[in-house]
Amino acid sequence: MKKIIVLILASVMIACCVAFAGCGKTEEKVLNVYTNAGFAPYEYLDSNGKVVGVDIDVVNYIGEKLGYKVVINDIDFNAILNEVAKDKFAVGAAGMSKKAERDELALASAVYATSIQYIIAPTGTFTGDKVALADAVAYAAGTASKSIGVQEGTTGADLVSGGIEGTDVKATEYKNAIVASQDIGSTVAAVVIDKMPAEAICKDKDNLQCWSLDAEMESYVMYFNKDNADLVNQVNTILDQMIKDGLIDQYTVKHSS
Amino acid sequence: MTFADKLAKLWELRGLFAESLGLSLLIAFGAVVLGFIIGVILAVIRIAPKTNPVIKVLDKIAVTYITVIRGTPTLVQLLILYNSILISFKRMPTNLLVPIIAFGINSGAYMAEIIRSGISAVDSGQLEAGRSLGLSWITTMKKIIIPQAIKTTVPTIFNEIIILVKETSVVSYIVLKVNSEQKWDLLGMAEKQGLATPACYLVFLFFAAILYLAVVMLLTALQHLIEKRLKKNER
Repeated sequence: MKKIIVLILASVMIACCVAFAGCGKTEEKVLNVYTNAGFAPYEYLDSNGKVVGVDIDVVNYIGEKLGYKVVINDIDFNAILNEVAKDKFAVGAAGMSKKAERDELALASAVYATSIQYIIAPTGTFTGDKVALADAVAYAAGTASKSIGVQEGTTGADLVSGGIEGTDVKATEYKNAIVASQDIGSTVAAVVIDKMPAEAICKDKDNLQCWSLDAEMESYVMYFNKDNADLVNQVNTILDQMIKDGLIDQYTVKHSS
Repeated sequence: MTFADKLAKLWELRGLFAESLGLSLLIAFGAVVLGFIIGVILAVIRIAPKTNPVIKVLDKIAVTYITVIRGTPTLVQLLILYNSILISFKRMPTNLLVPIIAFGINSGAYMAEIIRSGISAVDSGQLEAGRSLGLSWITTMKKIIIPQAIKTTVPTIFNEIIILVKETSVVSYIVLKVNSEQKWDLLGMAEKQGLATPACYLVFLFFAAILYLAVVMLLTALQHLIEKRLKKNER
C-alpha cells in the first residue's frame, strides 16, 4: 500500500517538474492570436488538426516580417475581444468586420478583405442574385419557424435584428452558422452569414443555395490591444504591401478550393 | 458528399481522433487518481472518531468541501478554476494540469461519499476486534476495514470513473495546450472537424459517441473482472 502511494506521489512530482521545466526560458517576442476556427476559408481546422486559413497565413506572414513568434488560440468568438483587451501583444484575427462597438474595445488594423452578408435558404427560394433584407424577412414570416438563424456576435446578427424590427420574425442565435444551417427548414427558415462561409456551406449541399443580401459592404480588420498603436502601424504597412502584391487574394484562393 | 465519402473523410482523420481520445483519457485518468486520493483522505476524516479537536475542524472543512463541490456544476468549476486559482497553470506550455485538477477536485467530493459509505458498510465488529487486539485506529483502518470496504465500493467507484471519462467532454470550453500547441479532446475535435467539413458534422459526432461507448464498455468489462477476482475468497 505504502509503495503504491509513494509511486503515485513520485509520478505526480515528476510530472510537475517536467511541466514546469519550460518556465525558466527567456521571453521571446510572442504574438497571441485569438480566433474561432469555424469560419472557412478564414480559419478552420485542417486534416492535421492545425488551425489554418487566410487569417492564419496573414498573421504568420506578419509575425515573420516583424520577428514575432505566432501562437494561435482557438476560442469562443465572443471571447476574442476580451482576450485582446487583456494582453498587449494579442491579436484578434477572425474574419471580424469593422464596427463601432468593436472599435471601442480594441484597435482596428487597416482593412485587409471585404465581404457582404449572404443568406442561405432552400434551393430556389429567391430569384436573382441579390435579395433585399425585407424580402428575406417576408419569406421567414411565411414559414412555420418564423425565424432567421444568425451566428452570435456577428455583423450578420446585427443586420437581421435591424431587419426584423416591427415584424413577428425572430432571430435565432447560434454559436456557428454551419450548425445553424443544419436547422434550415425546421428551427429556422434561413441563415444569414458572411459571403465566404456561406459559399462554403452551400458548396456540398444540393438542397441549400446562397444569395447575396442587398446590404452594405463590410470590411474585415484585425483587432489589437488599445495600448499597442505602434504594432498596429507596423502591421498596417505590411498589410498594405500584401494587398498590393496580391498575397491576400492568393491565400483566399488557396483556402477556397 | 455521399455516405461513403464521409466515411472516407473519417478514416483520413482517424489519427487525429485517436490522439484526441488519448488526450481525453489522459485527463480522465489523472483526475481519477487525484480524485481517489482526495476521496480517501476526506472519507477517513469524515469517519474518524471526533475526539481530537483537530479532527473536528478538519471534519467541518471536509463537509464544506463536499457540499460546495457537489453543489455546483463541473463545467462552472472548470471555468472558474481556469480563470482564477489555476491561472499560473494555464500559462504553462502543457496546461493539462488545469483540467486534471479541476475534474480531480470535483471527483474527489463524490469519491469521498462513496468510500465513506463503503467503510460504514463494514461490520462495526471488525473495528472493535481490531482495537481490542491492540491495533491503533489508523492501523485497523488500513489493514482490516479499508480492504473490506474496497470490495463493496468497486462498482460505485467504477461508475464514478465512467462518469469522469464522459465528463471530460466539456473540456473544450478552455484552451488546452500541449507543448505550446493547441490540442482538442475527442468531442472538441469532432466538432471542429465537423465545422471544417460541414457535410460530415453528424458523422463525426456519432463517431465520437461510439468511441466513448467503446471506452465505457471496456471499463465495465474491467469492473466485472475485478469484482470476480475479489469474490474469489468467498464461497
